[in-house]
Amino acid sequence: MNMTSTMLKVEGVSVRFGGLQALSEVGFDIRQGEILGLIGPNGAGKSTLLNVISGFVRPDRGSVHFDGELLTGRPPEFVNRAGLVRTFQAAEVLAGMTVVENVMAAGVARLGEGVAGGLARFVRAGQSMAALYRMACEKLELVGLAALADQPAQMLTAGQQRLLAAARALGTEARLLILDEPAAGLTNDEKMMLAAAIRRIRAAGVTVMFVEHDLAFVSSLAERLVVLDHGTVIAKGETRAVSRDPQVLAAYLGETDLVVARGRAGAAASAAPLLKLERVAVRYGALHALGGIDLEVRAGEIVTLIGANGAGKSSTLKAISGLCKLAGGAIVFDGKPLHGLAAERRIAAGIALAPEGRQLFPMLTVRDNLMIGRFSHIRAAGFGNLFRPGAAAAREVEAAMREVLDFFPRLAERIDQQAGTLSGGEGQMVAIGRALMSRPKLLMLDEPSFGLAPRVTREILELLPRLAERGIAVLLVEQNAHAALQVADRGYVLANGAIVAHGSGEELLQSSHVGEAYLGWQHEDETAEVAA
Amino acid sequence: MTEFAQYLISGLVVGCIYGLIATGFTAVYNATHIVNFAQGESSMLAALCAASLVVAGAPLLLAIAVAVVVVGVVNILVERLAIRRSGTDVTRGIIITIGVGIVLQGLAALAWGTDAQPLPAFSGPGSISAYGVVVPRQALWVVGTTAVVMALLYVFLTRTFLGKAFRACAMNGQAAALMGIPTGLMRGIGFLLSGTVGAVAGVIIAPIALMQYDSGVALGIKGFVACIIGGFGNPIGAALGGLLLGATETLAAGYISSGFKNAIAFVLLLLFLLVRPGGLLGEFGAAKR
Amino acid sequence: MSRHAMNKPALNRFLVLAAVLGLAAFSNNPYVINLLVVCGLYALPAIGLSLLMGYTGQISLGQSAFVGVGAYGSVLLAQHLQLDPWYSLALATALSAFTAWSLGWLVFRLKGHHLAMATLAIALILHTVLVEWRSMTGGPDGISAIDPISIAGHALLDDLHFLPLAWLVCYAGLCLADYLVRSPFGLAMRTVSENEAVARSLGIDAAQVKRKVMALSGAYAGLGGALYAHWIGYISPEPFSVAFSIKLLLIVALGGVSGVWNVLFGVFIVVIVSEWLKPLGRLDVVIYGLLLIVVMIYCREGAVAALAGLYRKLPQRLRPGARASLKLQGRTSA
Repeated sequence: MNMTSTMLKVEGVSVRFGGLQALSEVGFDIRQGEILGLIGPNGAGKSTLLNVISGFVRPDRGSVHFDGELLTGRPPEFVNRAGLVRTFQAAEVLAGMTVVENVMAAGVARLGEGVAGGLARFVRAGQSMAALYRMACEKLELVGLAALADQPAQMLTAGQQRLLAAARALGTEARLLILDEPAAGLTNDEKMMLAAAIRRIRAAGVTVMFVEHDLAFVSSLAERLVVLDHGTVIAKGETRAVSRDPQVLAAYLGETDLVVARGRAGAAASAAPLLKLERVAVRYGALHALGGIDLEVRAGEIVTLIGANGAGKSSTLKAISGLCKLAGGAIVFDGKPLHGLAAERRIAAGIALAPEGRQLFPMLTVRDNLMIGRFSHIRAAGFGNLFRPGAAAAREVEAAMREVLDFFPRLAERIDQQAGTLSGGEGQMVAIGRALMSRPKLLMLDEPSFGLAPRVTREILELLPRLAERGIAVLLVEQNAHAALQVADRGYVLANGAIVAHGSGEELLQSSHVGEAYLGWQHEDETAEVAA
Repeated sequence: MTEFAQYLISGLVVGCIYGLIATGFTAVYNATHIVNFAQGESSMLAALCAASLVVAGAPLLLAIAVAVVVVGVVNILVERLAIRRSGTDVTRGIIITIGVGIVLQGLAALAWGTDAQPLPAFSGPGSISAYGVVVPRQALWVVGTTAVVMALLYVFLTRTFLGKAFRACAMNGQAAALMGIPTGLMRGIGFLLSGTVGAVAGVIIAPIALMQYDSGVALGIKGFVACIIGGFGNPIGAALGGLLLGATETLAAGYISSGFKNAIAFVLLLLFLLVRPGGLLGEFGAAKR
Repeated sequence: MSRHAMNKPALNRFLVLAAVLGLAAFSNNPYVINLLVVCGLYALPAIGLSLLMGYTGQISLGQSAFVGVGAYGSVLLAQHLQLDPWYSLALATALSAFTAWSLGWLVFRLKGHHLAMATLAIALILHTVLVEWRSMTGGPDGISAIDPISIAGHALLDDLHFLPLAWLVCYAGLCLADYLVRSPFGLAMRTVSENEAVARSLGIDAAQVKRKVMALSGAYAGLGGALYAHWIGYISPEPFSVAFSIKLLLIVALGGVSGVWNVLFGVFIVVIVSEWLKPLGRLDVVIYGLLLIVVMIYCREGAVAALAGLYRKLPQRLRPGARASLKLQGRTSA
């Protein structure tokens, strides 16, 4: 293995989208013949970095050189012809074609350029297609899909689709293969097949870089790692060293310290659970997002669900709020099964969600955003109220709004401002406030700290115990595990769609295993030596 | 100078109609992300219905009111029967609305033949002249009604709870569903609004511009052009776009050639699509699926 | 649906076509012959549109414009440059292709309804130009006294004489389109139509592929238009309208977008239905619209695929020929 020659050189890459600095002075190399892993928590900028390298996004500053050739500013077609190829999240196989045709399509661009080439291709189409077919079979052989060559691509399982995407990428005769989250949603068996395929690909002379959230998978396969957090590189080097780097652990778990008055426990502990998930499984097509989890939340409790990106946290919340169907198991809320209840009806049942990314209505004022939180109740009071809430409905709205503003006094000043002009923290307050307007029994928060400064995160999370005091059950999904565990009564750790640890907030906080369970590092020693 | 003023005023009058139709497009697009290629047929149907009712002896006001209501109902039916089934595929939705437009046009030709159906002017024939500019009396009705309709729409969308919920649905459909806002209801409202506004546009212009079975096509396209100029999603933009289009069209027809009048709208359309697909004031701007 | 399901040898199809046409010719029914010529000429722009919509996923309501460019182009070139119709045909086809290609630069940045509207605008602009530019196009009255096409000195004036030419060209067009679809370029087209980002990541210049297909589709349309002009001897702006674009859209929707030969199915249905509905006056337009709606809602892959799907759903026993094979397998029910 030639470790000294640099294949890809990324220097000083910075990208800004609107008000957000997505990448800032990112620099690293990929060496010929290695397998490199790019990791980092959600929102770190990994996708943006991939898009910059592959030519889909032009960086504001910085450069990307491939084998000495400048790639920045060139379109994706050019980047590919230079010898670099990427796959996409969710494989994106071409469903209208067979497996072998998918790979053949990759070879078309190489067949000859210009008018003369085009004409030659045209005249000898039969020959060209035969040559493409042979090439495609070779690549399929390499990844282990040769037997499925003539199957329609859409019939493949998720794992097979990822292998097909890799084979297709290889069909471009690229020297550097970049895989975008190839293991997401795969079962353990599928992951092993994928790992074996990647090793064979490298043995055939192709350098590999991949982005992944499954850190056990990454550490078993990659020789070196680059860690991205908030758009900057915080660590890079040999896998073993990086995985022990406390900075990396902190980036994933968070470091925010909260001041929380704990004194509720007791009463809540003995009550029957308000929300109960039993063997709940969620699948998106062929992807396994959740594989049968059990979870409970009681009234007046704060329960947190933590885990790395892709672990299945959002899927859990989506299943509870009705935005996705269950592939198995059952959810019982307030004694009644939720099965069959449409998403639009669940808010009336007492379940409210402050969704990921706030999802405010940007052109409406804060007041209007909050009022919309009460839509179901206003409508239930009579259709006419929808035009102008009548006396009774209006009083309720006012009362609910007073409570919310009492909770978030800063919003009172901004009540008539357009929601799209608020700061991140204020926006999150509106999102939570909007959910509270329906006076829910269960309040779910999907990554409220995302994109917020630590000070603002503290402000928001420290308010949660007040809600719990009023008897509301709070289910908090967070990537910032450190902060979440300080405020929660109990917590569940989710990894790869399964619950790998649970206990009281304090227990999990003190336990050193949380970090490992969360990141999957504990598997490192067992799988690192399994050679292809 | 008077000539210029004459063209300008006439252009602005017809621009009001384009603005109304553009608003109709916006209403449907906001609720469903589909461009309703059958928008113009609402105007055509309302005008022809009203004309028939008047011929049958109904008082003008009643005829107009009934026609507008009928067209509103037809739009709701179209949404339920045809559009709902198209799911989220925009291409299919577009082709389905093209089909609906053809069907309505064909039915109109069957019912009324190919002759124009005149509708009497609301306050009698005759014109008004001021400063050398002559406009038919009906023109005042056009401008006045447009202003009233736009104002009502504005009030609905910004002052009523339902209107705000409707806009919320357009801004973020998933969040709206989370809040319990039923998407079916919003789609129905979108179509009802668009049908009603289109119908009103049809009946107020009918006394000036003879309406017949195929008038809907040109009106629809020009309304769409107004939308593109003014920006999808914004009723004020739609109105502005309409006025701009009307004025440009009439001025060009007057000074260059009347035959190419229609082509002006289409050329403007291409221009804006290529240069500034977000329009002048678009709320939800860019050219996207 | 597997595109390889249509892999019957081209020779078979040729024989079937020749048989059908031969029979029709011998029937000596001028009405039927006329209809068949119309089918053949309709098929060309339809093949072009099928390539464009099916293989690049773009909606185009502007096909009628390119047919018009081909028709008027050929006639004007022949008249002003004193050209033999064969030459003006070729030039007109090239002209349509070039027009389509140039417009491709402009419109392919657009998507969805913006693209549909832009192509609609193109069709309308062209129609207006044809009507208004009287000095060149003769305005609403059009141009008459067009030279017919001649082969070896014999002018093809008769429907019966024109029939083989029309269908030979049509057949050649179908074979060419089929060949393209099965060639590496076909793979590129299909990739672009399904997922442009993936295509680009594989080194395929998506924009260029779309423009080439647009040019090709324009060429087919232009050729069809030019042939039409020299056959019928007289052209006016009327047939080159948005209504024609919509008919072509219906043909493609019926035929389905996979499998070039299915276009013929769509053509026959629309042309025949047109004829049946003529005595009913305006009802034909309503039927087209309804057909379009129904097909879009229920048969996304086109009527042929839908029918094939229905056939597959039939229980084994009911299918013709199934009995025999089941017996051989020893599986018929007692």
